[in-house]
Amino acid sequence: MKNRQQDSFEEVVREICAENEGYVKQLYKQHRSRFMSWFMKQYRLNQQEVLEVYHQAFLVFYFQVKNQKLTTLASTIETYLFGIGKKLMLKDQSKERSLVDLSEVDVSLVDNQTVEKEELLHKRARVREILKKVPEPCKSILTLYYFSEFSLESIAVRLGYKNSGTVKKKKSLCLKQIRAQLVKKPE
Amino acid sequence: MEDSQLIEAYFSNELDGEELTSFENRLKADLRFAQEVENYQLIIEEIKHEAEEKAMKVKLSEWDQELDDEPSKRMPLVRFAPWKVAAVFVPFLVIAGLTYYVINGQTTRDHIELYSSYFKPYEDVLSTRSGGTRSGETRSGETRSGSAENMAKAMNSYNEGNYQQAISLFEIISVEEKDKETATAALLYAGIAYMAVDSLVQAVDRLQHVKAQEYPLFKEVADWYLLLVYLKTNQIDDFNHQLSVILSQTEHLYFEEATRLNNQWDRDK
Repeated sequence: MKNRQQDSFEEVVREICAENEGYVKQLYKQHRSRFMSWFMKQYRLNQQEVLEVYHQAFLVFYFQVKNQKLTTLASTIETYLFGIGKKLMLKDQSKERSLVDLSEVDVSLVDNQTVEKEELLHKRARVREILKKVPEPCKSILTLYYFSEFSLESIAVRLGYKNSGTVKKKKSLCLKQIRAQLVKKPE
Repeated sequence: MEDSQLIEAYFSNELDGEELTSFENRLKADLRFAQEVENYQLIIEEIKHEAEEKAMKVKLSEWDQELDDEPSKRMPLVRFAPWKVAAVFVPFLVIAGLTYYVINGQTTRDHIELYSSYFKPYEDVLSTRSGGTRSGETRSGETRSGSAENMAKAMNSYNEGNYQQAISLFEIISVEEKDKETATAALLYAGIAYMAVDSLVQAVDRLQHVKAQEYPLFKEVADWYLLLVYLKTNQIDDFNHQLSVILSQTEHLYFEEATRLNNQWDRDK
């Protein structure tokens, strides 16, 4: 028989996957205060630093649920968020907290990782690093096309290009450049 | 066609029939090609993820701001016997209550009047001079004309003041339209149309959704109309928060209107 905590987490999964913003907001607000109090005391960080950690932890949790990597939870959400936060603090001594590292945070949830999965995780992390350095106008073109799902014509209008053909060529070039960096052997 | 162009066409759903079958067969048979496809897939997935993450971070910051603006309410404990307190304060409370009722009644009328003087449905910025709309800019050729037609119908109803009809049409567009910008525009106009028919809960919901999207013009329009809703519903904390959002940006589309409203609000309080 499912317990109340499992029922409640099923609701969390359902609402996050349904992109219920009000629900996610409530979840975020509900856990912020205790997280911040604890981390400020435990790690002697200021409010802004802890807020960054909380943001990162919450985003990891949110995307794990949304991408269906986290479908059940043995602990409470608070405990889980604290766990992510502690891992972030352990992993990172410097001020930079990259989400690239956080792809490994869910390692405890993944059973029997194969070599292929490890390689895929590593490749995904490399893509993220490459994307951070993608300059304009590539960043805008690719985001507008793949995330905002603009048509090539709309992108041409938005970014001031001659026509959609120009945007298409530019988009291809941007993707090729990213791909070339991905397959380049590390020095 | 180069492999890279073929792969891009595949991920843009531009391949069909024989081309698609040929692509999928090659994917199974050619490991090197499959690797290339995987690379592109990863890149596209991470582009989407990065943008989504960025959008979420903006929301988290907004929610932080809301939390930080919430006033903490801590009342000191009063250690008196209740009946003693009542004996001293009841007459005062009665008088204060009546006064508050009179003033609040007056204030209620004032803020509604102020709202009425400022609320005007946002102008139609979507309809082109030829009578069509600038919507229908999606990548799908099949939906393009249907999308533009739906938007034109919705804007027509809106412009004629048939707000209930406009709401129904905008709501459908906001859900079904693949072009996010058009969908957001539909949500914005739905929100304003809800205000026109005094359905303010729905108005707030739609306008807040618009604010969460990445379209500066629509965001700023939503800022203004949300401010007006909070004015009408006398949600002072939300009103003040929204006012500070607009007044903190001198380049905001509604900076001048918000300044005038603020001055009038201060004067009337």
